[in-house]
Amino acid sequence: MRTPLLLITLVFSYAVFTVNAALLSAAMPRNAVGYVEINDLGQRLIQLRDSAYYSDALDSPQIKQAMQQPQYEKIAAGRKVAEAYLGMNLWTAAEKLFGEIAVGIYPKAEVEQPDLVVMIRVTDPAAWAHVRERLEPLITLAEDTVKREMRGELELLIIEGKAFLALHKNWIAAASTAALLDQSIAGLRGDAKVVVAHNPAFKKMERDMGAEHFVRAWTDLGYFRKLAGERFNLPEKYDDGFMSLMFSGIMELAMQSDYLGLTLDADKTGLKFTAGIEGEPKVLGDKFDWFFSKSGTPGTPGMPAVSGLMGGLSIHRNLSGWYGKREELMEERLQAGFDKFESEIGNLFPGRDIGEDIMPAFGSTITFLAAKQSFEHFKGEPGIKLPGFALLFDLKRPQDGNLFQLVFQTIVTITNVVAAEQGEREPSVMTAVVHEGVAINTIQYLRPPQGERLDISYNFMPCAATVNGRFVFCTSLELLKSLVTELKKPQNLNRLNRNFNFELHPSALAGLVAINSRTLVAKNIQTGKPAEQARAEIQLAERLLKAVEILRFSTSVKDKGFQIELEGKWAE
Amino acid sequence: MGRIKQPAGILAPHDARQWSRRDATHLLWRTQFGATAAEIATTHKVGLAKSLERLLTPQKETADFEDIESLLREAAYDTGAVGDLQAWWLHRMHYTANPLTEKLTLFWHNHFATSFSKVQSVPHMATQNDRFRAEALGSFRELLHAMAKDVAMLIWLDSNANRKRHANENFAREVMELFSLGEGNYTEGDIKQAARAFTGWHVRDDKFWFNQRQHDITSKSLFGKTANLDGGEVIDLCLAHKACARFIAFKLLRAFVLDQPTDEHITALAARLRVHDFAIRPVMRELLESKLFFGAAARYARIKEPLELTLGACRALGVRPNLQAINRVSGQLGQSIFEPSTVKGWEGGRLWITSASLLQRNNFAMALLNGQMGQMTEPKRAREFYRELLLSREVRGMAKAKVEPRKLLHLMMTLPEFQLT
Amino acid sequence: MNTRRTFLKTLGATGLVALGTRPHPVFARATRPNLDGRILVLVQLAGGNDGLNTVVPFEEDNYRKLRPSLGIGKSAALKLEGALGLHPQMQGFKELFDDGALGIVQGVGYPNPNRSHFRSMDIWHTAKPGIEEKRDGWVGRAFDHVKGGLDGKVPAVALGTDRLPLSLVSTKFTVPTVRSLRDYQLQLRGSKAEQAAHRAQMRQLAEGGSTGNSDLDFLRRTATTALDTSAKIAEVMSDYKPAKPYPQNGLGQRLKSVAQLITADLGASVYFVSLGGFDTHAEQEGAHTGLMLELSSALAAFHADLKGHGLSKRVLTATFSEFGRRVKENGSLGTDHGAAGPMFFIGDAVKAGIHGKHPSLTDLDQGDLKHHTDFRSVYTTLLDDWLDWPAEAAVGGEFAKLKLLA
Repeated sequence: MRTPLLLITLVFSYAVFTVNAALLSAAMPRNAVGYVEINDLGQRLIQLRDSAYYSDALDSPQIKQAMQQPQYEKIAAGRKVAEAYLGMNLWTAAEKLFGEIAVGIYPKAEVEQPDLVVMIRVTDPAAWAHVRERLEPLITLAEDTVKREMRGELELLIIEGKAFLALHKNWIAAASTAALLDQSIAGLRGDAKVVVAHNPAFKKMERDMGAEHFVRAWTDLGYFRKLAGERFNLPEKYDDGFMSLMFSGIMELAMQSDYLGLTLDADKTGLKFTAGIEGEPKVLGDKFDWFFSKSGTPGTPGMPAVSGLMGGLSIHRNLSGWYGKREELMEERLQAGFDKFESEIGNLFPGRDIGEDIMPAFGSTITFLAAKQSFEHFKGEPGIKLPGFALLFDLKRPQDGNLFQLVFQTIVTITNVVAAEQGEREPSVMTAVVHEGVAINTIQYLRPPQGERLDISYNFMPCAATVNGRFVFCTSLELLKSLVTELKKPQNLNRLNRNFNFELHPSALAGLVAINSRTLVAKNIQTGKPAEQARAEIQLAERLLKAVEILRFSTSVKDKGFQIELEGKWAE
Repeated sequence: MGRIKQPAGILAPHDARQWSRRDATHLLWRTQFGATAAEIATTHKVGLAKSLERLLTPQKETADFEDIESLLREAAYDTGAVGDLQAWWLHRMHYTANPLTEKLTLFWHNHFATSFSKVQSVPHMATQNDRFRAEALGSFRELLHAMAKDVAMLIWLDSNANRKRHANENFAREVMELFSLGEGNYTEGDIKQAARAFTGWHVRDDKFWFNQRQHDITSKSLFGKTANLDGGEVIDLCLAHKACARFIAFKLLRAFVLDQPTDEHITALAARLRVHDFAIRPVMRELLESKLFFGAAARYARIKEPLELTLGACRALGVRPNLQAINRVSGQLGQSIFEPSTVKGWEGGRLWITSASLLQRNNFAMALLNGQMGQMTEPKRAREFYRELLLSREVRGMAKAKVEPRKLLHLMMTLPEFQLT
Repeated sequence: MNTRRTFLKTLGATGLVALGTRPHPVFARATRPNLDGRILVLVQLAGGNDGLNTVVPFEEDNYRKLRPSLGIGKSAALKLEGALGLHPQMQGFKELFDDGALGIVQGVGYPNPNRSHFRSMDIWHTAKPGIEEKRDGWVGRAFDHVKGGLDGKVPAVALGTDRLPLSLVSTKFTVPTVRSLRDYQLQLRGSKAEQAAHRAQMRQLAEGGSTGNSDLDFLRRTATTALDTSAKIAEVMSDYKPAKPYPQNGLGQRLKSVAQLITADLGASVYFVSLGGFDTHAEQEGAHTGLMLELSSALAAFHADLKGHGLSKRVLTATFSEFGRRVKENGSLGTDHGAAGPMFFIGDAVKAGIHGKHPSLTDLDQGDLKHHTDFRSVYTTLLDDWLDWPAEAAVGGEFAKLKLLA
């Protein structure tokens, strides 16, 4: 799908450089402050109709139940009437009529309701002519409210003086004012000198995000900034540490941007949603340099490809930089909380200062991930089986690994004492194993736990290691071993220029559903559902998860902008 | 042993010729967690004798029931969470073909009140519950002996702390005060003697274990008998004590007949417990066909327990209950199964009711009618149908209320009368 | 004596004295249970509060000797009088003390103290140390014996608890337990008017005379109480503005609800709230510090709120705990169950200051402080001098009163 588009882009690069004539942005009247365009909608709908998802969804008990509702029956009957009237199936109608669709939004002084323009370019003019013929009697019937006029090859309709339509053999235009309709007609005929695609803020979006997408939307942030105030009424300092760490840089950049662009691309292999803003991090100055990856530190590395990876989250931040600027970045009332945090966490690092010694030990990336684990080290397994979890971070200096090893030992000792007191699990001792030349600190149970339904706490087997400049805390020795193997590979240090990366591997999660399915079905039955339905729902969830290979939410710094991407890839 | 004589007096059989639809409703609400209109109709049609036969002899469960039962039980074992065990039992209560057995299981759970909060083990609590069910209509004598060796009970009452040189009185005290005799029928001295007999009754590797080394083998005196008594003999002495049958009779009457039994009621039923040597099935049969049970004093004479209220309303209105929601609401109303609020269990009767709990009972009715307790179908039957089904009596003012069906049901289910059974 | 004083006050308040008319008998009866609307708020400190680290005798040798790790030093304690100070986190109490709104009664307890939580708590609730019977509590018995009855008023409200506290259990009346005000709402459907109509219909179906079934009579009585009280509470819930903000802790929020109910003129004479977590056997310092802060800040805010609403003269708050803690700290940086402890009294009607001397730290009973004031003396004072409710029936005997009120 993407390849032919790329070819077209190359061949008509001149056209793209000025205005892409195939896109409705080249026809939409100027002065729009918002614009949405959908391309090839009919084709996509047919793809959806023929996809396995659609049939799966139709098979789902919820949809089947909904289809028995009286409302649905009314809709189905309405559809039959419409199809008889048009003389074609609604899917076919959509396929043949919906080529490109675009909506433009125009501000109207002192009126809350903005003006609108809607354009549709049909795919199959013959089908459109057929539909127009079929609709003819309806329009005639509505003579009281609809004024008709022929202007050359155009048929103009004015509905109650409020909506203005132009019907052409290849397209339809509708606007809420006569002037906008005239401009639209000119645009669609290729006669307009200035269209929305000429807007400088729109051009910036096209430059940063490309022109060819299934769906794209654009807003003129400069316009809205004029309405809502320079900072969109957002405070200078954040009142939430998590928000500050995760999003403040993006928000600050967005406030400088001239546009906010959204695109959606979908094909048989997956879909991708992107939100983009303009702006170079350097315009924000020192205050936010901890937030953005730069050319020297280009973002997070990919997720280590351990087997059975279910998902994970990586952030690229200069923690120490953030922590050092906390008074500048966050509200006064949060500061006491940081002090408390320092004194509490300080117990784990005797003789060290959090701000001076500990925070600077963290490198630029922190990753948290989950992957499947087996329970080979027990004679048995927990009743509820959880994945193994790992926390990895770059070490600024490799020798700081010892600092965290000490913390690991302290935590293990404390939890061991607590667990022994509560009698929840067998006592353990600290031990070390070597895997591919890397020392792993872990625990060993004095008596290997036995039984098919061990306590849920046996899902956690604490272990830690320093490998290739990274420190790893992990809850599964098996997972840590495969992490060691992965992290030793040099390609795992490659950076992907992502500032933030969250990914889910639903097909691996489906495995988790499968091994716990008995419990999940039981939980579903507890809500009052009949057993058959409860089972079918869990199976459907498993099937839907299996159908998705990866879901990714990431942010990345581009040459002149910043983009947020949500991407899904379907399993083969 | 010769033939056992039929009871006379207040426990003499109810006159079968007077069998009415309201009698059928009365019988079902006391022996099941509520009743459907169809069940009431069938019970009325087949008569008391056949209905008692169904309730008192084991009925085969459906394959579907067995299947879900074991699935829910496995889930509770897997998660180790009390909420899942509670859902398992609620499922049994609602779907079983042997409702009286479940009601008696709940009765024994309340009698031998043991809480997950201390035992902290799904398997131990479930095993104890299985025992209550096995002896529900069996023998109280057997059950009392079994509870003295039940792992959950031993953990609950700190039996491992009961040692030769430091007798722990916890279990001995509860055996007399709560399980067999009731307060005032023993002395502190009796407890000290009995505690020594239970020394060394411990738990080891999740099983009962008689710890010979910690067992006191010196002589003890209890209720006039002096010997090297062991725990089993102490239990037999308690069972032989005259207060025991009265104590159990009092509790059975409160659970199945009326909240405020009189001395006459207690004396009569205690005699039957003696006659049957604490076998529960024949005693329940006599009680449930007695004049007392069908007499005026026993009608609307009990305040519904939270589970009778919640599951009963679901059953009557044909709602497949959301077990988690029912569990939550019943807990708010004071009845959280596997977690009785005190060592004495739920005292019941008027103590279920405060103005706050009554509001919550009313709010349960609203939640039920809103479909929050399970899918609720639009009430389409006539006013009279619901009045008989839910209230089984005339209520002043009710016939005049002009409201739409759901509001009418809400009015019925929030009537003070609805709280009684 | 007291009755006459109150009677005159009532007349004064209504301006009837000035008009020279006699009060209508119905009017007199309506105010009877509340007199001039006096209210008692009981705050239970569950688990056994360490009184020694609450009111600190910082100069006692034995205090320093027996509390080597947990002891609070002279410089840290907030000075009250002489060599006594409050826990350093009780700034709120210190201000109340300085403002003349805090009274402290030292060394409260009872003979042969029981060191089991449940038993000792039962004793404080029933006011019957010798008898193991839990039919009713001291407050419940008091309003059971009010002459002329309560005229359909809510006798007391327990707030934020699941079970009705034993002290409020009565053989006649149902006392509402309210986890939060939201719980005390009747859920109905439809518009405001439809809901009101439905509620009225429920009320009409629930009320009525004796039916011959005592359980049904009881249920009807309770149902009408429930409907009426929930309607009143719904009114206050919608717009309440505290005169001073409450701290964001559990006790603070519960006391805020109490203030809402009082300002809504619910008509209850006694409110009961509880704060748990005082059973500090190990690592006491952190936990106890948090509790002292919660207690002190919540009650200070409560008093300020009531003052802002002009109610601080009408409301008296008293704290109690089932026992104090062992004088000598244990090996886990905690303290074990003890005996006598201090009680706090807050309100503008309180005679401020320290009542009674600090119990001796050398003359101990099995390592615990000896009491010199029987808690039933305190109860008698609260009932007789404050609420004008029959005290003797409530506490089961005659006990000398304290000079607790200004």
